[in-house]
Amino acid sequence: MIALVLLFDACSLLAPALMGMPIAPGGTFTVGVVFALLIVLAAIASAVYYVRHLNREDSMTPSSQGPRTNG
Amino acid sequence: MSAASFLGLIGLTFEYGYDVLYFIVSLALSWVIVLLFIAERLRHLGTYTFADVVCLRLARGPIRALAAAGTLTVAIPYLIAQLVAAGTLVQQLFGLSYAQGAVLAGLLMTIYVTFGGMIATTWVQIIKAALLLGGGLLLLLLVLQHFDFSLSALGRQAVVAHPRGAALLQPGGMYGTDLITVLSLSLAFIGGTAGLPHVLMRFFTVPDAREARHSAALALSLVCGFQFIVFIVGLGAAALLVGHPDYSPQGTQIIGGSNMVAIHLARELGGEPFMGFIAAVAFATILAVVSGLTLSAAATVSHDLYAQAIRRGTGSDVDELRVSRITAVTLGVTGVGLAILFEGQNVAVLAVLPLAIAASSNFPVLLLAMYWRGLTTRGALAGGYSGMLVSVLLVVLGPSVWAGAFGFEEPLFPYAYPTLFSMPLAFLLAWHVSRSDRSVAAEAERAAFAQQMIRPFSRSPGSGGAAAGN
Repeated sequence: MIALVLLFDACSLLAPALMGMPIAPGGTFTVGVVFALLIVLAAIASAVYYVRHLNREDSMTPSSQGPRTNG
Repeated sequence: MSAASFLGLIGLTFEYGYDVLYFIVSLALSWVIVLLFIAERLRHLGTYTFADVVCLRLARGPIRALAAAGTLTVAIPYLIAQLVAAGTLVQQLFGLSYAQGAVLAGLLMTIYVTFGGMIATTWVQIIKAALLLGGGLLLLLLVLQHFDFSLSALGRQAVVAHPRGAALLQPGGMYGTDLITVLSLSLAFIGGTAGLPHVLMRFFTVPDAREARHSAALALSLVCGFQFIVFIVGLGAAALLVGHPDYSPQGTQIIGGSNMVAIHLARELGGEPFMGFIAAVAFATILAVVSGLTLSAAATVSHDLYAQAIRRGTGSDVDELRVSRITAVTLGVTGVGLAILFEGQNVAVLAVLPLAIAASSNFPVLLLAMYWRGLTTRGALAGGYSGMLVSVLLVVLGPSVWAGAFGFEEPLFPYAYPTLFSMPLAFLLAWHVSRSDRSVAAEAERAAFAQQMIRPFSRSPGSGGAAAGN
């Protein structure tokens, strides 16, 4: 994920040179928005997967959670 | 979801378009870091503040002083960003001066924190999050409805209306081809969110690690969705408000500054009642964020610095509460004074500055304390203080403060954010000093790492210093 974000930064900075307006008007924006959306969706998906995975582990080994506290 | 992300990012999208995507992807990643590396481990350790985590096996006194310094160093610039938004909002809506608006918001915040406490702040957070999401969604629907739900029509109109034309949808409007600033921005979000004291504190309002996990995942989903709403609304504002005689008669020079774009757009699309609703939601958001922030800073000063580091656990609860209230008032006064100095600056840009400081001071120490057995007190102090001092110094010498607030023509440090320099420095120093620390206390601290993970639940908050016993 960190690599994806840094790649997004680098690609966006290089985009004007690689996909300048005379070549592809609006192309950079479309690609950039789709790339950004994919990163965000990947973040959400990884979060959901992680939570489900750990919750399943918790339900199998309840003792590893320890006692509930109220902070 | 703060006023910075709502008012500030809509304003930035209105002015610069594409470059706001840097903020959005970095923010999404920051919550993944919080979820995967911080939330559960923090809740498992059963500790209360950043200092409690680090003090589990490191020397209590100096670490708590570092934590208090780090929290205050992050809290004050964050307060400034929120109070700048509040001042502008009150100025535009009620016809008061900007300074009066900032004072009013600061006063409300102080009263609220002093008498409300954690429960009131938590409820305001919940209510404002629902209102902000609802208001943002409604604003998005009104924008899309105006363009018959066609994003391409919206984009075309924005390009036609905006002085930057097609460049609005190209990268480079805000930061040009400055790779260092963009990478620093991303690093500030990646480490900064996890290092914000009021974010860490939220994990102790849930009952267990399972709920902490759920909270962080839900926050991630809502914040990410909200950022895209803000981005499209900002483009809608560029399409509808640029050159509008009532809001922006001179190109993108919008009346009230870029922080008022969302408010003007609400008025344009929904009339006075909708503008009033969005303004009220924005103000409630500001109040909630500054209250949470002030509360966490006040708790750190009273709990970490006063009760644990200065009184060494001998002070009474009444004393601690009094110190907490005095801190809240002091922070309110300081925040208002500095917010007046930063009048007119975009709050989203200002809000990244404390993130950069948190990413350079709190985050390295927090992460290493939780995951690296080799961290010692000396290493934590070297990394934490160096990251804090260097990041604060570079922020002060940078464009936002040196040129924006102090009025100098050229900043002494050319990049908007210092994270690319200060965060690696903090990690490097913490690692190097810890590795070269051959003291007896250091050996005990390293040996206590395993114990820290084995029996976290039997430890009461603030009872740190297990290894060194100091």
